[in-house]
Amino acid sequence: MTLGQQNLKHIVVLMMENRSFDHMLGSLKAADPRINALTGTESNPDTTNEPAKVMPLAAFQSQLDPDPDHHFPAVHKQLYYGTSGPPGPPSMNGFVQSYYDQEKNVSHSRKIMYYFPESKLPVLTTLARNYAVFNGWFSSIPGPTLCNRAFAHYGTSFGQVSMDVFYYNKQYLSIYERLVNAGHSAKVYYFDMASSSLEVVNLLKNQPQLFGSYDQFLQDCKSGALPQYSFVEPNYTDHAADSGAEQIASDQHPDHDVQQGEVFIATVYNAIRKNPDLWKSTALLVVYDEHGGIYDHVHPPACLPDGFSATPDQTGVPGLTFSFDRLGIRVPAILISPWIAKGTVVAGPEDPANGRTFEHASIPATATSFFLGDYSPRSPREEKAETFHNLLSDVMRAEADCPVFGV
Amino acid sequence: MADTIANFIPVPKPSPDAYRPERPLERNALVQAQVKHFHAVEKDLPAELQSGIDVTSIKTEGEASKYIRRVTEAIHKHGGAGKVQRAR
Repeated sequence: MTLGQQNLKHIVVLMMENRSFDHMLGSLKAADPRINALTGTESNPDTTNEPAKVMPLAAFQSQLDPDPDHHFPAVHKQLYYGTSGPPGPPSMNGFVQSYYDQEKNVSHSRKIMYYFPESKLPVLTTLARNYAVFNGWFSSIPGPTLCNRAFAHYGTSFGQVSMDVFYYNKQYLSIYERLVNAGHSAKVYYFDMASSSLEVVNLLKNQPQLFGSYDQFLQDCKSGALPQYSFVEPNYTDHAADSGAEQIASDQHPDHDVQQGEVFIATVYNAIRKNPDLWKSTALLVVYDEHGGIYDHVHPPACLPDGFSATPDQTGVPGLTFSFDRLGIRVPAILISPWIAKGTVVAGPEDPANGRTFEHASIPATATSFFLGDYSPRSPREEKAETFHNLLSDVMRAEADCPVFGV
Repeated sequence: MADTIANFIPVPKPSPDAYRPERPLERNALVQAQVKHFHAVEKDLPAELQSGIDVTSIKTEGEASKYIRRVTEAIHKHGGAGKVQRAR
């Protein structure tokens, strides 16, 4: 075990919403060719069969409205347009076609190929270039938010590929229940009562003691009272606070403002960074739940089947039974700790010899492995998932070598 | 600490018009699903804690957040049916 792992006492996961790797970090290949991002030549055909190229023209808001479809049938089209479908390889050619289906507007549909230049996302790109960025972190299912977030909490979605999810009292416990049952500490921090928690409504209903607010998270960071495992949820809605102040959604879900999400990520990071004891004993993972219908160029790989299957009625794709044997589209993921060397790039599928494939089941897999060791029962996917605590090294970086954000 | 180190990164704030609580709920599938789930959970709460709000009347993100807040508060008042059991 490295010194970084020996010092590790807290794992914090911040899960943002609905942006693909290339959309957020696609510009970084120019700065660091090891990062599997965009060359600038990638394209998808539009509905007039003209190529729609990737362009560094992504806007903070008012561009991806309506919310690009990312339910299972739409993602199936994004992946397999122009092919005979699985088990053959995806084309990654259907993103523009899929977005066209919503508004029937060719010009608008091409915006699904837009990505942010590095200068517009100073927080996410600074973190990616200063800590460990994953070339191969994929959403767990080629589908929407809630079934993907379930993998982060339970290591499975219990056969669901949709937003209709109720996971309480199933065969696998949530990571929070596992830890607390074993005498450890764990908490879900949601932004406030008006944003609340997304994907674990039944868990919230039955185990409200596992939940806290974002204000409490900030206070717990300051006072050194952070649990061993924390999951932080951004603000999912524009709403007024008790004081009447405007609370802008910070989840970055289209069409919410991406800059507010940058502020939120920076605030979470700073809360840990500014407590020296917490900083040297915490690993913070910033990750997105799924791609939100937005273009990424990397083919999602096959994976171990999860022991469940979704029927054609459930997938919404005629004739397609889904066996949870391939991953969803790639998302941004960054692991942050002073024990990670600056500029770490975790190789993915582009490196067949050394690459590692992560997905959201890697989250409970890591927390379970680190805090509990051997544990069962867990889903087949989680049991085989890559863990990330082993990225912490023997060398702790100097404070002046680690950025701080002005928010 | 932040102002004294070399690698201080300023973070721009969003424009004032980023705040849009009147955004139609139909434009955000995620918050629609959240309302649906809270409505399902609310039905299992004691009658005195139920909101009585007709969720089909919720048309904006701001209205959705008020409903979500009310049900979340009710859930916390109810205290949860189960308790996490500590290991022996």
